[in-house]
Amino acid sequence: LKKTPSRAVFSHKCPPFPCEHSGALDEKAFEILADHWRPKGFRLALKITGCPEAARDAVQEALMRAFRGRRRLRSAEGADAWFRKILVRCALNGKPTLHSAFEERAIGMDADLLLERLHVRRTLARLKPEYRALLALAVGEELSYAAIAQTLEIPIGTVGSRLSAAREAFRKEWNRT
Amino acid sequence: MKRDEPLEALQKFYAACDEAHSPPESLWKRKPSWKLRLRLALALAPLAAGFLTTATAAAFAERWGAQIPPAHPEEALRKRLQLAGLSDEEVLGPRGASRAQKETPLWRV
Repeated sequence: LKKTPSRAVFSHKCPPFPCEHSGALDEKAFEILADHWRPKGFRLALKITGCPEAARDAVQEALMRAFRGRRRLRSAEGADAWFRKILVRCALNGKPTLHSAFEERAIGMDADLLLERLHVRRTLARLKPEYRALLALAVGEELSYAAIAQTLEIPIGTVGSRLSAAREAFRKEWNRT
Repeated sequence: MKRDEPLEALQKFYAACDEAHSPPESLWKRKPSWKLRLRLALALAPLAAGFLTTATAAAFAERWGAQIPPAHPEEALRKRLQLAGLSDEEVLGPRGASRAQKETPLWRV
């Protein structure tokens, strides 16, 4: 008979993590998590920072923090949300710049599109960090209110109102810049 | 219905972010950030300091080692005696001699 792992978790979002009995991630499980989150995390961090350099730094920092704290994770089911929370914090702590090239294929791109993209980045840079994160999670990642509340550690009831405020702030800054 | 131009632009921007790629390899092969370099430097500092101390001590001992009394003169003396083919008593004096008597300049033999 093939022996099945005692604690294998199968999530629709992440690949299964072979976990230790305590629920903490062992190195192999962490590797799976890191492989899964490296590209995905970069995209999320890019949505929050608007800067590829800052996004790469955020992913790197988040992976380092997560590796150090992997023993504190109570259950593998929450690994996805746990890492997202770390990443969002790292992305919000980063210092985005508008100087770094966003698009490698910028040459040959429509000038209007490039200008619009730059305008979005400028507008995002002027928003409160919390609003940037909210917009990235709600509009960019289309996460549920519960997941957003868990990631940003705010009550679920306030997600909707803060999201409206973030949208309004974005519109205001868009027209001002 | 009125067009929400800012939010449409934001959605387009997010769509572009989804297409942006950062190959996993490039993330690790790229130039390390100053934070990472600082951390590495701090982690390696004690090692470097230890190495320098050892190297300096070795160089010092090589140059002036003969003039520095060893930490355990008697033990060092015994070793030198063995090498010179002498007995303990010939240099340290008779058994039962005081410590002051034993600590003669002869340990430089």
